[in-house]
Formats: sequence, C-alpha cells, structure tokens
Amino acid sequence: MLEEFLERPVTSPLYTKGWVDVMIDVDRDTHGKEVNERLKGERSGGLPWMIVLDSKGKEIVSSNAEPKGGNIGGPVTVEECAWFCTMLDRSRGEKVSAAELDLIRADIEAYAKPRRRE
Amino acid sequence: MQRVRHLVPALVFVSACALAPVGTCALQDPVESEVPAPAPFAALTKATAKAKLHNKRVLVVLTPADADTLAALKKDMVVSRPLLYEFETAQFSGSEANALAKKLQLEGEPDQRPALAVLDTDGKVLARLSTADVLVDGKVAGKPLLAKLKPHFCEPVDAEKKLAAALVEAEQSGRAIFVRFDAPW
Repeated sequence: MLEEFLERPVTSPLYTKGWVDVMIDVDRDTHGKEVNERLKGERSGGLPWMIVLDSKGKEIVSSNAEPKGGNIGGPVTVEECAWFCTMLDRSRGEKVSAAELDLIRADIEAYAKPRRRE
Repeated sequence: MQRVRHLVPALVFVSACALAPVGTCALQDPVESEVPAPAPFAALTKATAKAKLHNKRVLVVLTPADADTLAALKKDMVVSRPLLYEFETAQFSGSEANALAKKLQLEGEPDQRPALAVLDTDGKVLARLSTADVLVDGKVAGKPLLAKLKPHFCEPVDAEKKLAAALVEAEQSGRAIFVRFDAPW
C-alpha cells in the first residue's frame, strides 16, 4: 500500500528528493530481522514498520505515532496519514519545502480516502 | 483498520492479481477517448520495477485464454511460497501473450500454453519453460517445476549492507534515510 503510494507521480519525485529509500525484507534479507529488532527495540507493531534516520544513523522519527505509540503501518486512516506526514515533516530538512510537503499531504489524502472503511 | 501484519508467516497465499486491461468503449466522448491506452506489457513493467525493489526475479506467465495459470500456480502447495518469496509475476493471454512470446523467444504456438519465462530485472531471459514443464496431466507440476525455477532465485542481500550504503548516500546527498521493513507475506 505505502509502496504503491510512493510511486505516484506527485509524490515519487519529492520522496526521492528528500529521502534515501531503503526497503528491508525481514524474511528474505540476510540480517533483515536483526536490523529490524535493533532499530525497533521494544516498540510495538508488526509490519510494515518504518523509521527515518539521519545520515549518521540516528533516529529522527518512526511509524509509532505519538503520543500513544501504535505503529501506523501502511497509512490509510486520517490519523495514520497525519502521522506519516509528520514523519516526513520532521525529517525533510532543506531538501523538501513545506509547500512540497503539502503536495504530498494532498496526494496521500487523495490516495487513502477511497480506501478507508469509515 | 487491520493492515499491520505481525511476524507470523502466512501459511496460505491468496492471490489478488488485477491484470485486466483497461477497456475502451465506442460510445466514449471524444475527450475520454484520448486517454492513452495502457503501455504494451504494462504488467511486465510493473512487475520488473517491484522485482528490482525487492530483489526478486520476474516470472512471465503466458496463459491460455480460457485458463488462469497464475492462479493455479499460486494455489499449488509446492510452488506457491517460492512464487511469493522469489518472484514478481505478470500474466498475459491472447494477442499480448503472443507478442510477448515472440519477444522473449518462448517456444510453441499460442495453443501450446501455458508457458513461463524467468527474467532478471534488466529483462534478460534466464529460463524458458514449456507447457510440459508447468503441467503434468493438467495439474501444476509442483516439485519438478520448482526444481527448474530454483536455480534462478536471487541471491539474498544483506540488510546491514543496504543500510550502510544508504548512510553513505544520505551523507553525500544531504538527505534522510527512510527505512521500510516488510515481508513477502
């Protein structure tokens, strides 16, 4: 779901502009599970799970939404999409502007809304 | 919403493949009729992009028009899991299958289907499998088929190396690293 969203024409170039994308398969990649456990620590949630790191490897934000800490997984609900955008906002640095983030925000809303059950 | 999966391997893989081409209608208004047709072999392009991201091979399935070979493969007890773990799949039938068979130099006439091809993400054909490789007595040839597919599985990649390479790239480009953890199931 997130993978499909990140390929959308509006979001894809902005995502690439601001973030180095790393996909780790916990089942197939050697040491995939170990890396997942190391970065995730004691936090709750299954898969997909996401974390944004700076170039030194220090955590900026994860998919465990504050303040409750639940993993948003593939964002669909209003709350999940909001946290996903918070993740991007906290980690966008100077590469992606606030206006560009608004484009992503609108794009995820357009993508997620038809997929919501409520 | 229950989309977050937990670390329990699924025992059964249920396919949810939507490869139906977009149809056209003679009664469409002029504006709508200008919408471009899907690119040739769009499903193959999509599968190749996904295979690149997930370190998998592409399995091209040419199926008879009256059958769903991919669904049969996904239901087979022997083949289903390796198919999910090691391949991104793209199924074709009819004229699109004929054109692709020609391009990939798959042997046999249109009535000699199913036929499979294993491709790498550069589009190189690594293996061509005929109907006899796929079916025995009309059923999926589980173990023999898997034996033919197995030599073409991708070598696993090391997650630690992926992360290390991403750190270098992030340092050089001034970007953050967005790490996504997932699993085939």
